[in-house]
Amino acid sequence: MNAHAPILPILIPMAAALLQMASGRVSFQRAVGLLASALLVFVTGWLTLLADDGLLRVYALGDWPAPFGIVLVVDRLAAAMTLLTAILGFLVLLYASAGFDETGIHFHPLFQFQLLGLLGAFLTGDLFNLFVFFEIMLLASYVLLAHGGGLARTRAGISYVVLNLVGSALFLIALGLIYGTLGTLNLADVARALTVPGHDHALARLAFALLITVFALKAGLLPLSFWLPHTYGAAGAPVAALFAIMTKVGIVAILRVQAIALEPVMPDLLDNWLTTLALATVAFAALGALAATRLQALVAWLVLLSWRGWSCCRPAPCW
Amino acid sequence: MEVVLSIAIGVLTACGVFLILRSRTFPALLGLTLLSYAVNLFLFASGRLRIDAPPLIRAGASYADPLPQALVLTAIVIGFGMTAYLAILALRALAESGADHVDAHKDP
Repeated sequence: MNAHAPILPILIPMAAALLQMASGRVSFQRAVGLLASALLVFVTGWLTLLADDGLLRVYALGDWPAPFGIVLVVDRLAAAMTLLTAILGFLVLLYASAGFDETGIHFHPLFQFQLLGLLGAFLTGDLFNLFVFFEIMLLASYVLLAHGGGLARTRAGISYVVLNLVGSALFLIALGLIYGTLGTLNLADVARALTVPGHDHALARLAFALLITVFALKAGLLPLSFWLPHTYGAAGAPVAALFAIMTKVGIVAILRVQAIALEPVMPDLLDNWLTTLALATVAFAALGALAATRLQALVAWLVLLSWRGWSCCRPAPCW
Repeated sequence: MEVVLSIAIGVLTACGVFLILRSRTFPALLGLTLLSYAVNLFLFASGRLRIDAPPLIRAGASYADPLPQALVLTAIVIGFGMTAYLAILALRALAESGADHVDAHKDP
């Protein structure tokens, strides 16, 4: 049973969403959603306890061996992030069940699909699979953002969708470059291929720069963060609360790509500017929070302050 | 063949970026579609271009790399879904504000 623990955080929301779509009754959807979210908290807690021994748990989907099939990788960071997501998801769903879910249709299945995308993005060890989970998460978030209606949400929704579609196009270009130069998309195998001489490292470097740009867009790093307060400020309160963890997906993805693939081969790609930009983002967010006139806008600006964590946990070798 | 494909990708990308920068939702939508065509072709080319080679591995026969074809298929499906949703969202903004400006405000 322990061997199959990594797949459960993905299967539970998917099963719950399919069950909820089979019935249109809100009371049934609420019961299934709350049950699934509570179950998710226990499962991710168990996963975190398992991961505490510091070993990397690799789960090969369909039992295909690693560089050919897709793998899920559970380490301490991934397990802790899934636990955080599950707890947040349960509390947000509890609040939304008080009436917000009835201001539009299909709130509950979309909520579960967003959880599925978030948890999958934390757990996967394959770059293309990361793209797929990103898109599941984003597609659910597009619809959740418009939940409840109103011109402000539709307006925020259009710019959010266009921006993220362009981001997805850049993501795919980066993946094409990585596959074209290194011949693999498994993150651990990419790290191995980068150390083999003979590959075109200039193109691979370009690909990783693009990849980091896309993650920075999702995480709201300074030159790419102007959409975030605008969008999060327009979303409904439960939706915005869940969106707060979406920026963390970008940060975790940067950390993962940097620690696994970039640190041994091209450590100079990020260290020169990422810490600087993170500090600039914090300053920008603090100014925005001071200038906010509504509570929700204030909270949206404070989401950007999470980059403070980056400047604390990363040493700044350039200074 | 490589030259033709490069030119096609370049032209599609240029037109797509130009259209995305327009201030109306409909050209922006068309631009995103063109950009996704360009990206799909690019992804397809990442497995190297081959003629008369099936994506099946058999002893002695030449074959094309099947993985980029699977990736492109996934990307096409996701791109269609996203574009359809954006079209609905743009129609809703048009109904609510009476203009198809990306900021959903009336023309001056």
